[in-house]
Amino acid sequence: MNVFMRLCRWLTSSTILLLCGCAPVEAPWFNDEATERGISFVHYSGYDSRPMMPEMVGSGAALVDVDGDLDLDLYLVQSGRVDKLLPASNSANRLYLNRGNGQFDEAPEAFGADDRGYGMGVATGDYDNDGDVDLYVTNLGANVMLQNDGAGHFKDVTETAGVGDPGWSTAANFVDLDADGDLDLFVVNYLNWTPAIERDCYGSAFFVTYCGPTVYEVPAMDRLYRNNGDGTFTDVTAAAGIGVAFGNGLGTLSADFNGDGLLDMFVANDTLVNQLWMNLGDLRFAEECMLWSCAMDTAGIEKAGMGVASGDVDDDGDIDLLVVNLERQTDSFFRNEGSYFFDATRQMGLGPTMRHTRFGVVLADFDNDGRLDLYEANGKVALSEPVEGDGYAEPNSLYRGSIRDGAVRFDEVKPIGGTQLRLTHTSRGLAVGDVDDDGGLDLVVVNRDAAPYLLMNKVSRGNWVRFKVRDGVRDAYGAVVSATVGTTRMNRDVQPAGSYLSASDPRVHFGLGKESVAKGVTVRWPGGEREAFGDFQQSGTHELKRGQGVVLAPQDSTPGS
Amino acid sequence: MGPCKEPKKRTEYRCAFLCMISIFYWIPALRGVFVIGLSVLVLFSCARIESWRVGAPIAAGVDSPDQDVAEYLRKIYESVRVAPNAGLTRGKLAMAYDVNGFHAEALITYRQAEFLDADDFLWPYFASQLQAEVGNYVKALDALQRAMAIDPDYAPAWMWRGTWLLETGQLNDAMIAFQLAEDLGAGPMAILGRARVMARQGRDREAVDLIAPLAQVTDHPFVHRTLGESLRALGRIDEARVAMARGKDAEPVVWLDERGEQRTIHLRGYASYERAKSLSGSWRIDEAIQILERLQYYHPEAECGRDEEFFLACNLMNSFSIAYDRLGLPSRAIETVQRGLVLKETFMPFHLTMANLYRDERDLDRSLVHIDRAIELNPAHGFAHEQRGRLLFGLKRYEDAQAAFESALQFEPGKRTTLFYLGLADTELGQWPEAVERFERLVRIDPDFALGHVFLARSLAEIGRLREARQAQRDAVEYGADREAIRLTEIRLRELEAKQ
Repeated sequence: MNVFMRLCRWLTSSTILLLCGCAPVEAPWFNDEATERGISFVHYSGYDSRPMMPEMVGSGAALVDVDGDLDLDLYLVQSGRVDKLLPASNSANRLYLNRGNGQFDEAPEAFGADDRGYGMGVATGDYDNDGDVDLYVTNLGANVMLQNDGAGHFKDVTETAGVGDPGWSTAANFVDLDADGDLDLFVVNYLNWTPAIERDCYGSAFFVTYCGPTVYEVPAMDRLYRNNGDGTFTDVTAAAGIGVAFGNGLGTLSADFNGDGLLDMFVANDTLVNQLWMNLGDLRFAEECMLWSCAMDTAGIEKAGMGVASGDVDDDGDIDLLVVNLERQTDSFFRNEGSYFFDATRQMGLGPTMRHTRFGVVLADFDNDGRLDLYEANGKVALSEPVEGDGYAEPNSLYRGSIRDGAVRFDEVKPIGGTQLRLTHTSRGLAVGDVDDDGGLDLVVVNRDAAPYLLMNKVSRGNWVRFKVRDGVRDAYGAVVSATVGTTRMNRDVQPAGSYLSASDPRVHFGLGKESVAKGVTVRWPGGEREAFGDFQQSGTHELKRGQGVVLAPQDSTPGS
Repeated sequence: MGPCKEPKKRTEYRCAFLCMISIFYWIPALRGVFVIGLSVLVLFSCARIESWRVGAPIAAGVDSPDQDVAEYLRKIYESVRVAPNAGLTRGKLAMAYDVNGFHAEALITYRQAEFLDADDFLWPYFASQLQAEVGNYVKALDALQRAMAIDPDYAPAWMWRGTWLLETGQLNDAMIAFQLAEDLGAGPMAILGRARVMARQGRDREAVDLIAPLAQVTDHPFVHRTLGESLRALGRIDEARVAMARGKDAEPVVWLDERGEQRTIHLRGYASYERAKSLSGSWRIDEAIQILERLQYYHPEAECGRDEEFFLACNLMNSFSIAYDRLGLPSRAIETVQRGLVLKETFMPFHLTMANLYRDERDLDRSLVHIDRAIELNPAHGFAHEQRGRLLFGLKRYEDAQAAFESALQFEPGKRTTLFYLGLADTELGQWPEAVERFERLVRIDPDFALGHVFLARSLAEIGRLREARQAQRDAVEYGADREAIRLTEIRLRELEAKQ
């Protein structure tokens, strides 16, 4: 019997192995190539046995062309230590310049952008309208405005600009809110925290862990700075009507949610109601998240809003919102119905996301099939039991967007996170952009107390086309590009902000699937004016510049408008 | 370790069968036989699981550093080992795992308890709650179905069924569930459930007709928010704004569920401290003190004086003080905080509590001393500044009160109570234009703060803007202001109107 049993077991095992080998396995979508491509950064949170709240929050990254050579450079925000200044090697932000093929060289002292504050996030934008992209770094402590000289060298102009918010800032967004041609600055603040108010908090099994933000009872107010057009800003928070609300802000982005031509602002607040600042014109705002049904979920629960992404996911011409939350809380997918949002999280298939705690989030067409996909950077914020190694680490998640029974759905891609090797760290910031210019969108993920991931796209299967949308000398933040691909009218906006503490490539990317032409390309500029630019063949990046298209009437019914 | 222990012989038979059918896999023409055989084997295994004997209890959490949790779980686990076939004991173990965060172990143990005691409603019922909390609505509904097969007339179960069916988009079944819940006496929340289903079905007119009367008699924000969403869908935007304003607080829908409440009785450790605070806040003081006393056994007062890990011990003392005060024992409450301040003078909550206690004793000066110290320890605490303002208001130091409220607004800019008291300070100083500005700001931020409209009406009237005052008074009525406040304001409005 023993011999027979052994033979049986061998035969059974062989069969099963053969079956497993024959089963279809999806090819990985990404490969982490950070080290091979020259990224040597390691994030430091400063944690050394007693949890301090800021250690759990940062940090972010930016994919941005700082030197004007038409490729994406990489800016990584360093944190350091909350209670003291570390040497530059552990506290300075870093800049990596792209050689043009996705290989990077570190810029010495980040070419002047090596701010050593306890870094949180970064926003990118040409605030001085001189044709190069500047950086705004948010810190625990004074934020910093870094002005680009055109060659990718930076100077700290915070004092001159007047934007050194001294609080604990997290996300920031350059956006022309008064449609006067220059970028204003919206800064999201998290808590009025100091080390003196730190306290011990305990997990479910009485392990000392990080506190939730509401424990401190010190939510912060966000700030709006109006660009004066001369290199300076004015704090117009109160005058704009923003100074009537506070929250634990972590994510922000702007879009024209109600289609009135004015850019509105959304703020994801951690464990408090979200805020939707509707632009009334003349830099006045009204908070209407409750009226728009995006303040909390359908069960009346204020979720832990961290990262935020936007896009016209269902191709109905308006911008939808996705806010990501803690484990055991689903994402919140707010489908734009024109004058309010509908919480369509379950309908989109995003229920399983609640396995992890999500921070960075992007909606992008990674496989170029014409449908937006979803990538989420995960990492816990609390421990329930001691573990060896990084107890907060979680794998990231990738979801493929598709149409099923006429509705958009997201389905998780395996292998988990879309990489062959399971990558598990405490991930936070996330930026998207095509760093090697091969038509496949790549990802940068910042990991707490570890090296970042540079996830190079290996799955780009369909055709694609890309647009650099310009208003004058700078990118037209908030513009919406529409194109007909096959029978679908798609809309993509120029949106570098969003995700978590990060800034992405502002160029607008369309996956074309099997189609080879993006037809009837139009742009709706901030302010509402629309121009048509015609058809574009697949591949390559084309410039759409304001004033160079055919102006369309406001209600033009041209096919594809 | 799974719920079932498989006999050795069964393993051998199963393995031999698998081996035999594997042979067919290697013969291409007979590969279908292999597939059929494998399917049969899998189905047979699944079917047989149900009838296997329940195995040994699962151990979890017995080595937690939270001694309160560890000792309690150990005790219950031992009682299960002594009586392995007792469904009630097994169920208690499941509940203990459930509420103390060992969810996987809880689900397995609930299933074991179900097998041991198939007539007990609680085990599948609690399992369904736990499944729903982790988002497994399909499994939650399955477990709930098993519970309702035992007791089909428990109204809260129908409410859960309706809620989860609504969540999963099964609208017709959700409507039936809420209707049955209502028939069984579930109360207004069942009506809300039906209205939510109607709204999801696009039957907004019917939803409004159903829920509008309910909105007249309840302040629950979810009711008003649901009404607002349907009004919005019908294009009645102004009414929707009013309803949404009244629905702006994030309070989830709850209903009485006596059996469901039993689920938390085995809560231990730090999580039970949070429960104690909640019980105390709900005026269930005796239950709260019971928990606090148990926790203090592990975290005695002396621990509060340590340099590290003092937090829980100090907080327990603070919570005891608050509980004693609520029990009508102010002296004992003050003594407790005084002991705490000797141990840890820099623990800010002690000063906030002491300030409240002295304020209740009408000793405003002493109260102010403690509030000032609290602010010194944490200057960014908006609530402390507001409390300071209220004390100064009570001391009739209205200008100082204004400054304190302004400080509070630096940290919590839209807080209704701060704005309201700031406006009151303005009225006390006769600064009516400033008061108008404050109250206008207040009702703009918080339209459903009815008293804000009342005082806005008064303030507008005092500066001669009588028509606007009348509108504000009407808004106050619409938002449900206190009748006495409205009456007093009405008297003043008539006096001023008569003078004009």
